[in-house]
Amino acid sequence: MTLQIVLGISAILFSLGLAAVLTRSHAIMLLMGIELMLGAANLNFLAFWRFSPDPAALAGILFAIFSIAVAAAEAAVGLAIIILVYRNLRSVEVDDADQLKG
Amino acid sequence: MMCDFFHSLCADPVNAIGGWFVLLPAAVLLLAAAASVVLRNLIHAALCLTLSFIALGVVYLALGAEFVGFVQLLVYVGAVAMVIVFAILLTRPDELERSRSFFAGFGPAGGAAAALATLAVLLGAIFTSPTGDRPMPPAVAVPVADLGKALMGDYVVALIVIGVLLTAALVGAAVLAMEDEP
Amino acid sequence: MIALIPTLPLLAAGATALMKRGCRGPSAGLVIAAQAAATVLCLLAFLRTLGEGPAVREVWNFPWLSIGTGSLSLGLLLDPLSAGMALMVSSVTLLIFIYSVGYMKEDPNFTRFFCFLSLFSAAMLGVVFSNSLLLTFICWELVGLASYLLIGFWFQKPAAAAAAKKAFLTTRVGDMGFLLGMLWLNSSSGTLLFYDGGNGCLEAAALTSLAAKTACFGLAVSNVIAILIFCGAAGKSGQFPLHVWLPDAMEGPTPVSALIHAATMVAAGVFLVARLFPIFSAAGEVSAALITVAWVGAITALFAALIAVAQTDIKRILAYSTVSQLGFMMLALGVGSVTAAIVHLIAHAIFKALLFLGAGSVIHGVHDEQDIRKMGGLRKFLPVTFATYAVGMMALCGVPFFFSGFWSKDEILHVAHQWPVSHGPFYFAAAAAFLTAFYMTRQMCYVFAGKYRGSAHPHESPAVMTVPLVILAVAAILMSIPVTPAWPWLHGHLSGHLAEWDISRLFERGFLTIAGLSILLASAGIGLGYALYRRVGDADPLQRLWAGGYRALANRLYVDEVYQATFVKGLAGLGALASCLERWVFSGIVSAVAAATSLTAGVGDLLDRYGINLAFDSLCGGLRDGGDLLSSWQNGRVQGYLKFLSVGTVVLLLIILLT
Repeated sequence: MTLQIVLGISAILFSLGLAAVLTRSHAIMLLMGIELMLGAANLNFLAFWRFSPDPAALAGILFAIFSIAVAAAEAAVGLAIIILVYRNLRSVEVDDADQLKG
Repeated sequence: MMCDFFHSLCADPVNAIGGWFVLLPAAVLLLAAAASVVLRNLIHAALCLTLSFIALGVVYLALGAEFVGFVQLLVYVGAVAMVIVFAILLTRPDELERSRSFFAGFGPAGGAAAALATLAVLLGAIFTSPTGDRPMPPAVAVPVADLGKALMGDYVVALIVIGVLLTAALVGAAVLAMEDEP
Repeated sequence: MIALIPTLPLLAAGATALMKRGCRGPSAGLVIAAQAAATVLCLLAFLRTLGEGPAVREVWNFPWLSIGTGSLSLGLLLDPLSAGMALMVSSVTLLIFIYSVGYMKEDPNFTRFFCFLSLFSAAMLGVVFSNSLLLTFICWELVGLASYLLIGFWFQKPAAAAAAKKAFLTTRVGDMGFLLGMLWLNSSSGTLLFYDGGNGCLEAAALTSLAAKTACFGLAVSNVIAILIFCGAAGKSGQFPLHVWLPDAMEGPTPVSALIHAATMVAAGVFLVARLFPIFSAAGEVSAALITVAWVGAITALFAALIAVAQTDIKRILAYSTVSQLGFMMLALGVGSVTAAIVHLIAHAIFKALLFLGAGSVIHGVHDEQDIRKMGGLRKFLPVTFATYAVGMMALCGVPFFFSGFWSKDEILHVAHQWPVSHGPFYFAAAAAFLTAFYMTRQMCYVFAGKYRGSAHPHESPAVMTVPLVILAVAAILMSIPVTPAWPWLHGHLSGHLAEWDISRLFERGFLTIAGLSILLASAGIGLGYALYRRVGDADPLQRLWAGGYRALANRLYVDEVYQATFVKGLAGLGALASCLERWVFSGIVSAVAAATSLTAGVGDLLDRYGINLAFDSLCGGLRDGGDLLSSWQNGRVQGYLKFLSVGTVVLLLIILLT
């Protein structure tokens, strides 16, 4: 088990999340993709913490904790926004929310 | 390198158990994630996502970050996944039909290509970096008390900011999701 | 005191100019009184030159203009030449003034006439008494001005106005030469005064320096200056080819013709050459200048005499006769004899004035008819005029012994015969003398002989006109006395030494031969004329004999036509060319510039409207389209943005990884 393996896993997870964000049309699907990406990032941090020569430094763990907290908040707010958009546009397709087009 | 790894795993299965503890949940994680990306039915996708969150938590546990693992299981699986499912329920289309198109924008080609490109680059970066190739050192137990001390000590500012953030998110979400006054 | 002589008539002219039109009596009286006073003063001056012994010369110079270090001086001169000339001029002028009172009695512009006459008299006397070539020139031009005013006195007649202009322009051509010569003389000798105590331009020092230097064509400077000044004299004295103005000048009143174009103004040219004779002869007794003068004079004499044969206007015959006689005078000057020329000048002045006044009397008598073909048999009607006219005619023809014309013309023939250069002028002069007698006889026959062919009632002129005629006739006869070689008193007076009565001089130097020849010529001319014209009718016998020649002579040998075709048309052509140049070239250039400017403006406008505006509009359009394009990328779709974002991130990562 090398660091590269773990990092590779997190990279694959990240790209999966990116693929979801870039290709799916449902707004909540985008959010799920974002959650996956955040998870991948957390995994990165923890991998580096685990494979670091000084495991007494808790920065990695704490960063991961904060990241999870922020992700939770962001998921809540994002979903609230999606519900609001759904209420106004009667649609959850991201392509339909293009009022900001130039 | 991968061959060496599997070789070591097979050669010394007892000492390589730690490796398997990471790999198995990682495989579940990836499969579940892939499934949630690809599945057409949104509820199925949400459930697969939940599975992936669980798998990710197990990976954290396998990596020795127990607190984070449990936090992951609690928050993500217990809260985020639920919220997602509720949001799906609340935003069903009127005619109860599937989402109009599976893929957005100009089709999956562009997005998939971008994702693949990103993956390629990242993998390239990871596997060509000289610092990446290091074995797993022996596990160190991290008592939660130390975490608590660090949170309240060195990282107290971050802690308080997170608190404010969470408060704001709570209030904001509530305001946003409120029904308009009739 | 000499200064008074020209000044009195000048003041009279000024006073008369201020008088109103109807003041006949006062104007005439003032002018005649001034002239009489001037005549008296001239007589006194003449007597003074008699009394002071030989070669008297009094000079009175004064500086006129100071220019820096140099100055221009004017001066007055009293010597036998100027005194004799002045006496003749002033007395003849006085007689003509008196005559004019009668002749111009019916003319409404009486006062103006006398004003101009007085101006002329003042200017002429100025020419005579001048000691400076500059003063001569000034008075010369004034004389020309007065001549112009008097010829064109009846300016309402287009012929008179044209004649005045022609006279002025023709003499102007000559005066250009005069001016050039004067300027050259001033620059060569430093002074324009004639006699200035040794420094004058006619005195020995200046003359030797002038003769020593050479100018163009290898001629000495003195010769060139002399020829240039002779141009002016030729113009004023009507020498060929500048004679064309004199016959036309007969458009003026007869007193004007008598005074100006017979006796005085035309004589000014001869007088000028006589005065400047030292310059003419500075390069030798037979210098190029004098040769020119002699030949011009000879040609003129013959030329004019030929034309006079076929003229039909009474005054024109006399005008050509004047030109011919002036030619004689120039010939005399050219062959070197100043005294012969001046003597003939004075004699000619008297009898030519007589002839003109007589012609005026005839014209007055037949009520302004001037064509001799319409006259005839007038000796019965105008007896006094006939008698005096006959005296003048005989003097002019050279009827011997009792008339001054014979002696003076003879003297000229004599010196012409003795000229070492050539006998050509002599033969010309002899032929001219023959012709003179011929045409004068012709005129007499036409006018006074035969029967009256006209339609008016001829009558004799009043006494105020006939008395001057008689006086002049007597003078013409009396003039014969001082000019005979037996007692060449006038010659002696002019050349500075006194002469005595010596009849033996008649027989010396072949004089009798020439005298006999001239008597022969005169009688031949008179005889032929009488034979041809004794019973003249309407047709001219000469015309019958030789029609072509007669017609050429009657048309004045076409000189005027030649001038018209060459100079006049040439100048008109130049004028038309200049006008064309002005209209097409210069105006064209201006219009072209204007058109170019407006074209440029138009191009600029087009450039602005289509070029710059379009460019600007297209720029703005491009900006807008670019903005539209860019904003079209902003489709509001998050995933699109995210795709670009990820691609960008990948690129960034690559860059970081690979560099």
